[in-house]
Amino acid sequence: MTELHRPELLDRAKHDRSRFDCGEPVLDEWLQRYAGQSRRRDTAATWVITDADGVVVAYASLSMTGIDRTAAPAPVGKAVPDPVPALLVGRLAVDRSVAGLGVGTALVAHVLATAVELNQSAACRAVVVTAINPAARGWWQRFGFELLDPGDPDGLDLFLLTADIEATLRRL
Amino acid sequence: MSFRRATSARNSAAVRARSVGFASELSFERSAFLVDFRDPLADDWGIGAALENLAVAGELGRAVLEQMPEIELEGLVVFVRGEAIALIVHSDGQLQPSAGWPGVRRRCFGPLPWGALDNRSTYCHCKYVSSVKDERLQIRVGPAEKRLLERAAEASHLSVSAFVVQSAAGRAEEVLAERQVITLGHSAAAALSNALERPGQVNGRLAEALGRRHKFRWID
Repeated sequence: MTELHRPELLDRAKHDRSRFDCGEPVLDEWLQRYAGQSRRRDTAATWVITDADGVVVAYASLSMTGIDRTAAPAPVGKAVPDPVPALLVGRLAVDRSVAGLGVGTALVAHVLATAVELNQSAACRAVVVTAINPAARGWWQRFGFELLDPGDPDGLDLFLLTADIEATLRRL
Repeated sequence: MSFRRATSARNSAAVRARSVGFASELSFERSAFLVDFRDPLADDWGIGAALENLAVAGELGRAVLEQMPEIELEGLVVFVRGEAIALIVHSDGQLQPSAGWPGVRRRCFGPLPWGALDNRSTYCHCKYVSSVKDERLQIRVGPAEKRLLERAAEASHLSVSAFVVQSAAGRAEEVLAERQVITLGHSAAAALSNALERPGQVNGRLAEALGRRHKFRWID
């Protein structure tokens, strides 16, 4: 059975990302060329799952974002911060060599647990993802993610509330 | 499985012209042709499962061919909900119009452009081919910029428009992936605000997804 290391932050000295191939060149290239830059600029942190040799087989890039809800009618959400602090899953990709093993799901579980921890230690009221395409949107919706704008069925931004994630994880 | 090249160099325009004849509402780019399954995710037969496990163009094509050697199509692009995600190619290059595959509604028998299968950009190009291309984006560029784009497109084995779309889409994904503020419209803001005011509740779909057993073992 395939053995993998639990998710950890990308470490250039420790992890081999040169062989990563998820089938989406944009996502492969980002990991190989830009993930380090994003970390140095503090615009995104990259979590990776690696195999026994330290080769990256899945990654997710995370950053903090704010959801501007000033367009909401005044009486709505008086107790809700604006902008709403949220965790943005910018990218999530799985290498073809481990497709179908549930590695992506494991990484999602880690990301969601991270959001719950963040919400407890600071504030993170939601997790937002930008699906790379409609097929990816369907994949995220399997986890219960909902369209950020329900009026735009073709939208690629989805969200889950951290409170719901916490309630769900507690039950598992 | 190794893919064989088409037997001779083909003119991409000719491929396009033949393809359009099969499905007038579809537009085809140079190396993306033949299309149209029913939505596999809506059905319960094999291709849907394959897509779920192998959401990758080339790998999917190989897996499907290995599982279903009776398929006798030279090539086709699988579209899921309007987006091309897989190019499937038969290894022997023989065209068999009678070949059956549940769910194939249309077939097009234009040959593969020479070398398309060996060119990774074929796959990445497919991603940006929509089943219906009825939107137009007009841009003006200076002569130097135009020459630069033409040279880069040629080096990438893409048409200029495909190169521009692909490059811009990549940059757009980059920007969207690191947004510091996401602005909502009136109704979306109201819906989110209402949701945030209610107590947390168990999300059934999330519980089901996270409850599935994975097929690997953690080392530590």
